[in-house]
Parts: sequence; structure tokens; C-alpha cells
Amino acid sequence: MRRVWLIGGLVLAFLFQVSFFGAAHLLGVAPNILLVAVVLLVPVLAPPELVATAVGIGFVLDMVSGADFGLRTAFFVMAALALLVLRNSGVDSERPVTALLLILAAGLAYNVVIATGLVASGTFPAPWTILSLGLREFILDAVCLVVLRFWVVLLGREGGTLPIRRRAL
Amino acid sequence: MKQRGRRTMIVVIAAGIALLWANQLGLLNPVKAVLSYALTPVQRVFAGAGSGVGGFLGTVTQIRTLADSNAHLEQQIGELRRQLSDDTELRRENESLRHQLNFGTTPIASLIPAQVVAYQSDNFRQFLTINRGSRDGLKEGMAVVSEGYLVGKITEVMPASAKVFLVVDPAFRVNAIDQSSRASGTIHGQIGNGLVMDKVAQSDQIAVGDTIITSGLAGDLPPGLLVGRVESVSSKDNAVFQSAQVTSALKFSKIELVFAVGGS
Repeated sequence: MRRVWLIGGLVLAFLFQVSFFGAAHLLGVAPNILLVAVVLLVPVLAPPELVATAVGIGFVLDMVSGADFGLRTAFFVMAALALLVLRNSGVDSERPVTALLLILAAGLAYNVVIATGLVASGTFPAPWTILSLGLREFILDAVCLVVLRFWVVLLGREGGTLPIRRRAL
Repeated sequence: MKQRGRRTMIVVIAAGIALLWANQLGLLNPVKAVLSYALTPVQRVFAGAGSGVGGFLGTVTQIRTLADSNAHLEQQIGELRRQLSDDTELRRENESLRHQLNFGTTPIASLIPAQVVAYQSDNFRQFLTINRGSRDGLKEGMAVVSEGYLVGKITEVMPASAKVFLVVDPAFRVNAIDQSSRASGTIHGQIGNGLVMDKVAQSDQIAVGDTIITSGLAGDLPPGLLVGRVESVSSKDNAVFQSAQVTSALKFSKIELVFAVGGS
């Protein structure tokens, strides 16, 4: 049942990310709801499960994206590994402020990584453009965090053997 | 236990790399085709809902400027009606002259309508996914238009969907000309700043308000597709080329319906 909640929630988040938020274009940007999901899933999933989830998310985003194939998979895997290392060194992403800071940092890093795909075309965006987009994205990400938190708590309860607690790498 | 966990993670990452590789080799095309059939209708529902929410919030936030905008648009409609009447006369005259000179008529391209079902997941690159694919006659390289303006070109075709590379993407390049002065240049997108026409020779004339259309050079897109209007021109005495800021009437983030330009 827990796996159904996990995959169902991720599919829904994916549809929101590429179709709903892409069309709504709130604040002129689309939030990175799947990145928020990965940050929130760190305390609930076992490390291999989290990495598998990150691979799946990155791969699906790469499939629906029109450029820079592989960049999203690589980023999501690196982000998941970095989050696990941080978790192992005592950073508690269950605390809302910590989760928000992690989402802000991960979101900005994601934008920098995606922007590097433009280097070949000679049109790398100005740093303030990356920052401006990143901050607007962050406002929407914070709203997504509040909504996804309910889903993650549900997953933690459903897990039984995988409750929300600190887990060693 | 810890060792086993690490080993599993390495296997998972290796599986991810294998998936990326298999996709590049085209081995996942059947899976993608099935997914495109299954997901496209659902994505259409989500995109429709998103468009409704975005449209409502956009109206609420712009309510104070709506009256001015309405007056401006009414004035524009009047001007366009007058222009259309002139153009209709010119078309008739053109057809009549072509007929008399045995020139034949200009072939009319077929348009394949499609709905946007998904947008690029990040805010830097500009791609759309539409609900028409190879089963509807779409092919890679076809131009895509909306409201008469160039939207982009098709870069990937699945049986039930296709990806459109938007003209506002910074990596998009298309040859274009100024409709009145015939000055030629290259159009590309700029993040948050619309379109830029650069590589325009200093000796060429390009003025604010001029209409920019595709030139058809390099054969990538058909000639004559409307790109936008010149908003400002940037020209320096010591520069080899001049450039112009071009504005398309399309709001690329709000496009819902597009037309793929097929063969004549």
C-alpha cells in the first residue's frame, strides 16, 4: 500500500509539474514540485529507495524534456546523494525551516545545472536571471512543501517499518 | 547491512545510466509510445485546469488595466480591419496578374490543429508537448504556428504526441527578414526578454514597428511565417552587426492551441 501511495503521489506531482503548473504559469514560473518531493522523502525512504526514486523522477523529466537529455537524471541522483550525506551528518530535513533552506539551495543548484545546457548556444543567462527565477520558484515550492508534507506524513505512517526517523546512510 | 544498502544504490544508479543509454539508442520507443497514448488525455485535463487557474488569477491581477487594454485592442481591431481590406484587394489583384501571366497560384499549406498538453519542466528551456503525433501526419522539422505567429518547430514525434521547440528558447535559431526593408538576420530567444534578431548587417535598414518574417533560408522553416514586430534597434558604429528586440504577439506560456504547418 505504501508503494502505491508513493508512486501515485509522484505520478500526480509529475502531472502537476509538467501540465498544470506549466499552463498556470503562476508568478511567471513553474515550481519544482518533484524536487520538493525528493527533499521531503529523505526521512521516509531507505537510501536505496530514495536514490531509485530520484533516478525515476530524473529519467521521466528527461523523457518529457526537449533538450539536455540525462542532465535531470544526473542532477536528481546527485541531489538525493547529497541530501543523504547531509542527513547522515545531522541535518534534519523534517524541520520546516531546514526543509525550506534545502529546497532553496537545491532549486538554485537545479537552475544553474539546467542553465549550463545553454552554454553550447552561447546564451548563458545572467546570474540575476537565475536568481530571480529561482526566488519566484521558491515561493511556489514553499506552497508545494505545505501540501506535500501531508502526503509524506501519510507515507511515514503507512510504512510501518519505515517511520519518520533518522536513518543512517 | 550498510554494505548491502550501498551496493543496492550502485545497482540503482547503474540501472539509471542503462535506461538513459537505452533511450538514446531508441530501445524505449515502444514504451514511450504506449505512455504517450496513455498519458496525453490525462495531461490535457491537467493542462486545461492549470490554464483555467492561471487565466483566472491573471484576470484578477490585471483587472485595473483591463479597460485600457480593451480600448487599445478595439483601436487595433479597427486598424487591422482597414489593413485586411487593403490586403484582400491586393490578393485579388495578385491572383488576377498571376493568372494572366500563367504563374500559377501560391500553394496553400495544410494546417494540423493540436492542443498543448505539457510544458517544459524547468524555467530555462522552452519546449511544449502537443497531443498530435505521427498518426496525424506530423513530422520532425515541421513549423508550428498559433494565431498566425511562429511558435517553433517539431523536434520529436511519437505516435500520439510531439515535442515543439519554441522560438523563444535561447538555443533556437531561425533565419528571418524584415518584411519592408528585406534586411536579414537570425532570430533567437532570450530568457525573459522575448526575441532578438541579430547578425543584421550595419548597412541594412531596420526600424521600430517593422514586421519580421521567416526567410526560408537554410530550408528549416517555410518562408513568410510571422515572427513579430521590431520593438527597438541596437546599433553601434564600431560593431559589425546590429541587432533588434522583436516582440511576438503570442504569450508563449499561455499557448493552448497550435497548428503544425504541413506540406501544400
